[in-house]
Amino acid sequence: MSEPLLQVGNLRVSFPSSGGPMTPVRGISFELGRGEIVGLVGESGSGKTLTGRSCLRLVPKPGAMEADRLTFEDIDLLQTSQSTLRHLRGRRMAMIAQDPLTSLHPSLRIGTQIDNALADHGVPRAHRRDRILESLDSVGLPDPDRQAHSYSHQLSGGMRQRAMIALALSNGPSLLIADEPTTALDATVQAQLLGLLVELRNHRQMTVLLITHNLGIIASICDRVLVMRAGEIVESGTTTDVVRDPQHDYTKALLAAVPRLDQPRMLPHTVDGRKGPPTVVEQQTLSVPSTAPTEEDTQRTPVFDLAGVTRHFPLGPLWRREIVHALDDIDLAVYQGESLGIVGESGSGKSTLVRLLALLDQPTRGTIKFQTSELAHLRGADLKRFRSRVQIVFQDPYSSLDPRYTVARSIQEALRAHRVCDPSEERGRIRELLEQVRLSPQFASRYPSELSGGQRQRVCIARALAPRPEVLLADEPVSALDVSVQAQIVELFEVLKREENLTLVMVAHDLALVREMSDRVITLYLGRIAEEAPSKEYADRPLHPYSFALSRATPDPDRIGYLPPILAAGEPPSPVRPPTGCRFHTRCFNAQGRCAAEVPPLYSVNGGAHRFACFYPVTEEQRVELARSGRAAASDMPDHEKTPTGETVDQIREAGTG
Amino acid sequence: MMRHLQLLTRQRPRVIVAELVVLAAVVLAVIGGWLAPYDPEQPTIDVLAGPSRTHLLGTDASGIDVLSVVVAAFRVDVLIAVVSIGISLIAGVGLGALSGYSFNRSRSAGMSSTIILRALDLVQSIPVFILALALVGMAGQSVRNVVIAVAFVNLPVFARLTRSAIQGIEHREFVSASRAIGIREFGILRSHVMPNSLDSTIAYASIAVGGAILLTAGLSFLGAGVKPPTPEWGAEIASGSGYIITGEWWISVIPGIVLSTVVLSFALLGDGIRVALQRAHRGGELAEYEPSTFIEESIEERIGSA
Repeated sequence: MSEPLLQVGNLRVSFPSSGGPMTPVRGISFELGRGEIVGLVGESGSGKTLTGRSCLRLVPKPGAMEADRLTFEDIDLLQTSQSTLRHLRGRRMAMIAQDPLTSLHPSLRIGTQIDNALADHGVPRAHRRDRILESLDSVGLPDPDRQAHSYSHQLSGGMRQRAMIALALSNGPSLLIADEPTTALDATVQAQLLGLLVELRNHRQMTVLLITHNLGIIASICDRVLVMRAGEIVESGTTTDVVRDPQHDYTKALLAAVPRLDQPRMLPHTVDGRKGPPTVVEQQTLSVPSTAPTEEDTQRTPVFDLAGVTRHFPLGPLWRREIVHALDDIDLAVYQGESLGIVGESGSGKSTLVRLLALLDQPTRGTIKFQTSELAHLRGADLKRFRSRVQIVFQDPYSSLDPRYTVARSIQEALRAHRVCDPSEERGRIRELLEQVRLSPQFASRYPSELSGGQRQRVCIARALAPRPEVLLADEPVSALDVSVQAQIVELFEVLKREENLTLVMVAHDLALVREMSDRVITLYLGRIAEEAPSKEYADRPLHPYSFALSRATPDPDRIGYLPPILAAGEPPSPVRPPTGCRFHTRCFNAQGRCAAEVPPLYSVNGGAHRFACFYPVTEEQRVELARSGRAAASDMPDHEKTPTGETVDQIREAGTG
Repeated sequence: MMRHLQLLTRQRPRVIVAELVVLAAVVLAVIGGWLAPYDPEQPTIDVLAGPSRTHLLGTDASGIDVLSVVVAAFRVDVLIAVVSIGISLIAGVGLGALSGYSFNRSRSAGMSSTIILRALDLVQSIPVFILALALVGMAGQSVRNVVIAVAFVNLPVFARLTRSAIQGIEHREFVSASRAIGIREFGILRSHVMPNSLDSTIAYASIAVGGAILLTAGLSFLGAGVKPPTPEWGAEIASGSGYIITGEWWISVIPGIVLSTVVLSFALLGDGIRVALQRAHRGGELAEYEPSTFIEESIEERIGSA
């Protein structure tokens, strides 16, 4: 490796606080070589974002940054003046943030923003137009001329992030600091963005510091990894070394906590550090392999029975009314004692479906039956009984607890609403519930602001369990949490399911997670069911092209250098104007004329257990073809020449039509 | 309680000064009448006397002691303002809650919300001062009528503030969670939505008290407020306004300074409360960097014993 592009020596960042200064970054050192993609991985609070910002000397006030060494090329960043720094930022080094919606100016056209960036760095007016179009083109935005005249709100999430990258790259920097660039995006879109980053590196010899919490991303595109924990780098090395043979316990634990699509997780019990021996319940979980219950276990009585359920939301004023097609014609049964996973990208209607089941919303058309009674007709005591039987856990543990209520009071509210127990027994019951979610009773008197994300989610679960429900609905219950915490909550769900004999309906966008937690999986795409299958079959043999694309889009920490293929082109269309016929046909690799004209019915195979809505399901050859082509791109070629993944799509297309 | 007290004590210096002024104003509103050296409604023989040992702040054209008027007027002005804003706050919050909370998209709530909003539009379309003038003019110049007028013109702002705060809170998931638990809509409104949406309204109330003092004094200045000879700042300023040009400045200027100081202090206090509440709710913006918030259950612990 030639001389490093960026050298950081003993970097420290501290913030003043009431209890003495806090140091979120505690003396870290690293180097970035030219043309390298280096991953900086860590959980929230590990100081990874601050580290990234420090490289540009952009530590937010009142933070203070110190370092023994911070050189970029041959410039000592610690000594340079603010004006020199400003020239360096943008022209030589650039940064993109997680949320492109807030980092782009909402009231300036994309082109104008790039124009400003170019003008700031002295590009003459005559050249700017070409440079704007060039940079938009280089990030793969179709029709750059039109994009340059758009505002950020007119672009979809993935397009926005591309525009953000175009803006960052407009002055041709040699260092790009990307802070969670794909976290806010859907899996199929994420795969496209990762491909773009690799391409940029290959074509421009750009150095990328990729800050992420996702080990799959690290494995798929990074050359080297830095693992951060509590402000320190605990492990660093080439991706292969770190992922294949982690040395530090933290790295090991982090890797173990990632859900895998194709294999059961090494349960985090292996590194469990809770004091004392595992409880009886935990020992049971350890010994019981996580397999789908057989036909006999599940009594095939539907708890929920949905027929033709449609939910449309009106949008805009009466004279320009548009309709958001959140759900269309959903026929579905949820059976007693099963866990059902619902996956889909943003706009697929998965949250709407759960809200309908929880009776937080009413369908526009169609009926939902709970056991024998129809939800829409529940009143009075029946409604109350329904509320106690069906409970819900929400995605965001930061907003699902009233900030003014202590933990005990939140749970108590649920107990009182259903007169679950005598007021005199409440304290005991709250204690029991907290224990059930593995929180010590001392948490009862705390406020949500004093709890971490995972603890809050445990409280939410405890509250949901308070009325002793039969069905637990969960809307993305772990997506707001760190990987290691995720693993614990998932485990908790599994234990509770057994203990309480719960029927579990869980929504998630993380397929691997759903696969791990559910007996049966449903894919929703733009408000319609695309596929429904037992989870093992779903993971091994998805038939709907969308499920297939989704299942192959997630980068996997076990497959180093394997860039997920882009099987679904573009991004999900708006649910306001869903495509005709099969809603996936605009992005599908198997689509033919018929798909745009006719809505495919749900075909079933495997005795009705496996249903899919597609005229041209994924064939066995396609599966094989893809597995080969995808792997080849990574292992046969040196890192720099990884094929941009567009090719695999064409190969698949040929395979599909031929 | 301690936490609430801290909102007032941990403040910037100017807010502390404003708090002291407000405290003094409230105390004077209660005991001001007894501190006045002369009867603020009885003329003395010294007419238009300058500040002296006998009349510290001079006397006005009718020979009434200016200091006595200024001190006694606290009762009238501050009391009218505080009471009317109190009424306005309660009624406004109530209306705001009814118009802002959707009651889980109930249709009747939607209709009543529209009616309330259009009524507020109607009130707000008339300039505040003119509306107050008209109300007092119609009902007669008594303290009670001034209170009602000031309360009425302030009501829409409170209603709208509450409404928008409630709409923000209703989308938080803890509201859905309570619904799923089976709490009735009024219960959710009372115990979850309202307590979480009153911050900005409370902070604004203090600013509004300042505005209400100004309005009360303004009405009297025009002769449409509390009837003379009730001691009142606006009336006193008006009575002295003709004499400034001839050199008897104290009659207008002294009540004017007191009036603006009190109004400014209420405004500063309101701003201080707003900032403090914001800070309290963010829970310290650095919390996210603090390792201790996540250490407890993260991998840390497992490594500990591994």
